[in-house]
Amino acid sequence: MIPLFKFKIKGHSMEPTLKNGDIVLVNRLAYLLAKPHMGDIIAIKREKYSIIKRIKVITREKIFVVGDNKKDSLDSRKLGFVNRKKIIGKVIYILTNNA
Amino acid sequence: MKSLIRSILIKILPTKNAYAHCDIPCGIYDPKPAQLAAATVLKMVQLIQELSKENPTVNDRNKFVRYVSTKEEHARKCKEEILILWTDYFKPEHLKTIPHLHEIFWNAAKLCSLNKQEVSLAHATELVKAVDEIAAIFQKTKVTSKK
Repeated sequence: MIPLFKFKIKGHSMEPTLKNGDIVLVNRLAYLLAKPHMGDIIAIKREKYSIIKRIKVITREKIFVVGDNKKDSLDSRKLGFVNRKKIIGKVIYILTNNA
Repeated sequence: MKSLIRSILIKILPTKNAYAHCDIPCGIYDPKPAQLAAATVLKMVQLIQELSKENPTVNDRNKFVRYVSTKEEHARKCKEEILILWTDYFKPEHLKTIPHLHEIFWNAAKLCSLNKQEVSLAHATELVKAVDEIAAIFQKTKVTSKK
């Protein structure tokens, strides 16, 4: 079982880092031994879909995430803290850049 | 070696979507920003063509640069808005009722690029018409989905 996911970015809230259509590689085991760090870009599981955000604040159990495009991003500023268990993995590589 | 690994990963790993739009996804789509951007492109082309071509003053040159810059910015914005509607709002099921949907969007996106490259009243007018057609289709699908 490969511990990697390939995600296609849909939307603009992570611009300019990630653009609509970019494909990124997510390491599911990134936080198995290491702790999340402020500034990491992560994939998070929500009810029926996944979202991509950057970690802004870390507490013992929760994280506060924001989009790089702060003008057009619905994130922890409105949704609140996210449980760490919801983290799918860490974005480790941009496979295709849609720039 | 790096590119080989990259292409292997692209091929073997299944692709999932990760939302970075309004992240809900909010489902809020509107062709109006594209229409406004297309109208701005047309207006800029008209203003550029109205500028004095003989003995332009420093002010004329300043206006020219500003008009071209605004045209460029709004053509880019128009393309971006069109692509959001195309890739995020419209779904494969829309092709049943609008079989030439891809062609409409493809042509509109191409017109955005043409309007960046040129100062053409004909192409700017075509862009406005193309975006209006997209807006009409969008409204039509909205009405159908409400029924």
